[in-house]
Amino acid sequence: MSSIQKIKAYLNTGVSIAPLVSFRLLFYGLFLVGAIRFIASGWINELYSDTGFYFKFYGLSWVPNIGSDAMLAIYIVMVLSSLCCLLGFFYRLSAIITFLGFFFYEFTDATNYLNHYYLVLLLLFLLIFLPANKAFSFDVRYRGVKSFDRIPRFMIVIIQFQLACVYFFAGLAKLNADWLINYMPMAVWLPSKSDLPLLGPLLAKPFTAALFSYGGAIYDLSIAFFLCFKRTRTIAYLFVLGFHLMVGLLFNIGLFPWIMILSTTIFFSDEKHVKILSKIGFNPNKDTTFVVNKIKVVYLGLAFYVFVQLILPMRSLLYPGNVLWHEQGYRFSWRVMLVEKAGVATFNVFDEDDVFLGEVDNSKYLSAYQEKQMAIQPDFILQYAHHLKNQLEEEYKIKNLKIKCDCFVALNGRASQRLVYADTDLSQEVDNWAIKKWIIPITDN
Amino acid sequence: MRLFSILVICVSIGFFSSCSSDETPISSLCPTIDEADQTALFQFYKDELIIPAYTQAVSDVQVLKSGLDNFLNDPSTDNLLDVQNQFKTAYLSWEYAEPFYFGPAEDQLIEDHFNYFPIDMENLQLAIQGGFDAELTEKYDRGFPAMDYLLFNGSESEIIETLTQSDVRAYLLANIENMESRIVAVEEAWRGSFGASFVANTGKADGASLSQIINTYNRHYETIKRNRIGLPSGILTLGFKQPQVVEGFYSAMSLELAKASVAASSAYFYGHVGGTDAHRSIYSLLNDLGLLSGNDRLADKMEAEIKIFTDHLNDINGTLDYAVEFETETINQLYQSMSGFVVLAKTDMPTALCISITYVDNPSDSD
Repeated sequence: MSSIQKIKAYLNTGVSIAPLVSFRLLFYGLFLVGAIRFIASGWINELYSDTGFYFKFYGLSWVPNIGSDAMLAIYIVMVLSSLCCLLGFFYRLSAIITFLGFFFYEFTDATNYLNHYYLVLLLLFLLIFLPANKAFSFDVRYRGVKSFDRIPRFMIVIIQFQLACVYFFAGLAKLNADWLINYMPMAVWLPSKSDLPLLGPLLAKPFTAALFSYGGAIYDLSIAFFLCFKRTRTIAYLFVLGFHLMVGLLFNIGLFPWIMILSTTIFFSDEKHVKILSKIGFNPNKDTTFVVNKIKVVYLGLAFYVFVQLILPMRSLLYPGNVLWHEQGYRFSWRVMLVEKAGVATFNVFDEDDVFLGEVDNSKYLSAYQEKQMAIQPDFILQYAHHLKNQLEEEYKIKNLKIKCDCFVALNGRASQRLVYADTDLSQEVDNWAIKKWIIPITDN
Repeated sequence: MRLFSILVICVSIGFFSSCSSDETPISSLCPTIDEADQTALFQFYKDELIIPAYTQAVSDVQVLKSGLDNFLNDPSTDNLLDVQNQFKTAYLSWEYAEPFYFGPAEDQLIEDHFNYFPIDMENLQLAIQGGFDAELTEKYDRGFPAMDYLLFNGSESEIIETLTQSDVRAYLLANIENMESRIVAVEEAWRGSFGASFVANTGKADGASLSQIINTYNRHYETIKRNRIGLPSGILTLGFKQPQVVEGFYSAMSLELAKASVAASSAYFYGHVGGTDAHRSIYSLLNDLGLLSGNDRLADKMEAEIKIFTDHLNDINGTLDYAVEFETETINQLYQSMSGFVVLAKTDMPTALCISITYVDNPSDSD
């Protein structure tokens, strides 16, 4: 057999459906908790009440702004649909609805982008296609859906791959001078938590920042491998628990620790999953294997997905300079907790003859949080400049306004420096994949 | 498993050797501030700046209150002049208490109740007709701006006639009552348990005193720049001037108030009003730690920029609303110089001290 055939054979081997069923229960269960938590927290109102202006992701500017009531409705639908997914009831439909709802939420305002939301979105996407309801589900029990106890291995591997990507690329992203030599931003963030009981005084010590930096990088780079092998799995999972619980305790990262702690159980063996699930009534038809139709199409789709997931985090290599500074290729790349940035962006408005007309009162167009995020992310600065041009030309009935930006950002302990050229009329610049020439490269001082 | 153990051991050895042999590079980015120095700094702020500012403001508000009572009992021209002067004194004293917007001041929403300007005429009329509601917020219908309008808009006889209407009279009394009770509560908290916990709250945690100082200093400075200069001048509205939105428009004390707020901001930075000699302050802290911005001392840079915009402000004469209309160039220079300083205060200073700007915080989670 050629190696490709070997890989295909390996990926197509039947394995127990139990890990996938566990994953369905845990992941949708957590999603359900998360959705309820979000509704209860009042964040929907806080983040989406103003239908004025939202930052969009490149290529997703068509996502409409629907206001907080509609967003709340979407959340309530997601509560119901994720409950259905959890129970395995009208699974496929519910999975699609949950995915679309979260897609919409995530892409309405890029200000609120978080890597772990992106991970949730990807997992929701994969789960649409996986037969997670083919055992231990309402569909099987009440709707006559046929039950299977075995599925092709790639259905488990793709989730493992996705989780491994998160860790590995997060680890690679940490291999930079700020993280490894200056222990930034840990050196700033940890002391800011020094009022915690017991741990607090330790956190203020410089040594702790070094420990977190190196420990974090090594953990991220290696943990997925150790989870893969049976001999190291248990201890690796203890590290997963310890690491995420500690990070969750220290930083305001919501449910992220739980996403990783629960999701990584997919690395455990079939037997473990079967053993635990049978205690709550998991009992699929023996020796029935779920057969995939049109396997070629599936493999093609799978290969494409894997390719995208490997390429996307690496795309920043195509942009010269420090990605932490210019942020080209920063998102969707598992760059987590890498920067402490403070910025001030002042927009100056000029008429067509370059006469200074005034400065923009950012608080009129953006929420305080949007302004804070905008000031440190070049593509937001650009979007906002375009928005300002439209807004101001309409508001003041003046044509051909020029929008220029005085923007200063301090990154990871450096003194502030200009982020964009102050004489560029940003309203004439276009957001695309080309190198953004109006960003000033960072100088290390 | 063996591979894993070896890795763990190597890593630990790496850490401990790096720890014992050479600790300086680790601490190079974030300065360590002695516990005792911090306590002394906070004690100084509390005893020399914050409590005196509140004590003065409380006493002037109380004088204003009795002056108002006096006038309402005997609405003579002399008594009106008295209460107007008392108003001016109290408003100016307030400017020196305004920067410290955290702890009890924030609990009392004191800024909202004292000095949200410009006055919203519609809301003010509604409040006068419907009665003063001490619990309402964000209405721009109360505090000094409301009194500025009611005590100074029109001729003396017109003012006296307005003020003696029963609903206006009730409104004024309720307003000053509300102001008094809130500012007294703030002062008491500073003299009592909050003051003590403020002095003891060392460290760099988000709610720690140093973080409060840096954050509120910035916040206050931005209110000067945006509300006192930016909005009336038209700089924030593409040149469409709104001289009537200056602070203290009707009492014609806009320039005095702006100067007082800048002086209060400087006092916050230097640890006292005027001059730069040896006091414990943000300035002395930056200096003692030898913090740099690029190749220059951060404290020197900030001092130089503060001097520039203070000088520009001192170039203005008369009232701010007049200057906004007729001395555009001076106002523009003032505003530009204030913008330059924001960068130092809001990015370089917190970065050098390793303190996060938290007055704009992430509303939900982060990652």
